[in-house]
Amino acid sequence: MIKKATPSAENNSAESQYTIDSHIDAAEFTKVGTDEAGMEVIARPSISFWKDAFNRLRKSKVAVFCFAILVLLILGSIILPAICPFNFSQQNVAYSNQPPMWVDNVNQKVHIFGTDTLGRDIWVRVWMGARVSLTVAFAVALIDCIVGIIYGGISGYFGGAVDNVMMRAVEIISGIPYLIIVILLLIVLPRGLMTIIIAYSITGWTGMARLIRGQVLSLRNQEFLIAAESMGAKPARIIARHLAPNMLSLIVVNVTLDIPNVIFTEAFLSMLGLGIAPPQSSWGIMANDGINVFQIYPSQLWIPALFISITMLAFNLLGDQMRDAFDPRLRR
Amino acid sequence: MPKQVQYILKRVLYAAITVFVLIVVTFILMHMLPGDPFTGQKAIPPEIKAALYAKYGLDQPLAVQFVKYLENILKGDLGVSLLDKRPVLQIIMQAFPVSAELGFRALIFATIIGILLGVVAAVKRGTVWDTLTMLLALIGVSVPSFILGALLQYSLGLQLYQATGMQIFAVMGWGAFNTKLLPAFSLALGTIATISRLMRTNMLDVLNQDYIKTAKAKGLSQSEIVWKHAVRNAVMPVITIMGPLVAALLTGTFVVENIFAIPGLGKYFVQCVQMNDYTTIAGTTLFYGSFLVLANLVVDIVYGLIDPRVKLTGSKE
Repeated sequence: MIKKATPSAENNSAESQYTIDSHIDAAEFTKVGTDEAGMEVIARPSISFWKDAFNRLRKSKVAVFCFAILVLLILGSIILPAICPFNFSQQNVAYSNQPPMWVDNVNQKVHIFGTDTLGRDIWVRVWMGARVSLTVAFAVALIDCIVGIIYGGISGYFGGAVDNVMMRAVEIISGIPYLIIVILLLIVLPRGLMTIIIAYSITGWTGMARLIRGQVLSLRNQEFLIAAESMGAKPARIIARHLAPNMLSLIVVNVTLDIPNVIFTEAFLSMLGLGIAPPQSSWGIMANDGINVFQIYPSQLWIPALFISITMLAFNLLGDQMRDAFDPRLRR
Repeated sequence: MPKQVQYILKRVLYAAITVFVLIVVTFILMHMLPGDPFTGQKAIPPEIKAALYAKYGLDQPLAVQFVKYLENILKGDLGVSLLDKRPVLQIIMQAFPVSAELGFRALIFATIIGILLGVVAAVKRGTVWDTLTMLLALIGVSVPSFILGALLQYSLGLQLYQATGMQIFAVMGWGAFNTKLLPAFSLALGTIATISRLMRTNMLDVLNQDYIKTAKAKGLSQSEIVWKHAVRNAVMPVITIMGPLVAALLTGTFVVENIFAIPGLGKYFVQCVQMNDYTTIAGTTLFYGSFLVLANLVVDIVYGLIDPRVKLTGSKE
């Protein structure tokens, strides 16, 4: 409004000043003024924060590529074990330690990644391992995230003595080395997928809780929260409807960067023999088996190693790209 | 100054509570284990069992047993290994120095290389150097140490030996200098990645500060600006993650020591976990836990002492 009004005002004064010696006929000009209706026209669709972030993410080739890899991995782990002609635990010692793309001479079936020491098809085992690794990773990240949000949200929202007590507790819990508690729990509890998930998430939520608390503390005194409070919104509603959406980008990025750590821990503990029980397959178990025969059959280590590394790399890269996309300072 | 003393005391108190919680957790978990020490192939008559229970104090209430347990820990008695009947403390004292040396080598190596890479990436931002360094860092974050260790062992240890006939890097064992290179490197790579990424971010932050412009305006050379003004400030946050880094290195020793057959505590711990040697697991866990808590405590105190902001609040009040 102001921008358009100023030149027209200058125009008026100029007109009155130079009318006498000007040989341009004032009648040749028409007064434009301001186009009130035109000003209200929306030049381009309004871009919300999420749309903007999504657009930037879509433009980044790295992010799209990583996302595609992860989607392929997830789909593969769901579909491929079902359509493969072999069973992940089916042993056949006569066919042990075959190279990739080996065709067995009886059934004419192709072992795409070859077979391991017990003659099990590595292709099926890798995808079954993907199931285990990804299930554990997503479940743990989700639990960490939910517990962290609730704990951090309550602590940051109520502040004062509540915050003090809750944060001291977090400080003590996170002081206990993560892996040691996990190992202890895995020894005591019966083996299985549930145990692994419980053991991993039991101390993993503290980081998220701290992060959320800090964010809540900085959001707490903003006007929209005071408005919601004055209209009688209950704490649960404020945390869920007003605080959580404002922290979503932070949460998404941290969950994405948390997942590779869980995958690593799972692989690592499977290697120590504390992960999922054989004959179930997991990348860590496969890597461990591979290390034993690496000098003779290197492909048996390469394959799980590549799967672990590529998955971790994809999550790490995607998380980095998301952090950039969500960063308001980098917004156009 | 009292503020600082207060800060240190608070940290020490938290560390003590953490260790206590760790002891309680270990105690409870070890009691949750199925079976008891006298479960064997031969059935023991109930009277003898009762006598054995009385001898080892297992007939006492749990609280009394816990106090006894605590007392023993304070005396340095962590029990006797079920596997080879040696005191757990003796095993730790024998094996830990090897792990500590490996970890220390890796830490020093990782810190120096990590800081250097981070600085180079930040100063040469947007160039090939930056891309290469960050690529290396990403690989370091994404390739687990156990895979890297096995790959290095095969390529540098075995293949290179077969190709050149010189054992530049030993494949396994612990002793001569060439046995220490590969394990330390595979242990360090993840840490190098973490430090270099953090260092790059910090450096970029610091290089945009006004005092760097001032230094430039004064006519200082690029290297003086980078090393005297920027790096000193950018290094500070690296100190805060030293605690978690030590924890990560320690975790790494579990696997690296196994791959390279190094007789350290990590290898021993894994062996005990696999053999269900519960007393050694409990003792080693406590030792590891206390060690990490102590490491965190030292990092916290050092950071509190050298961070100017902590000093400022101390002198104000």
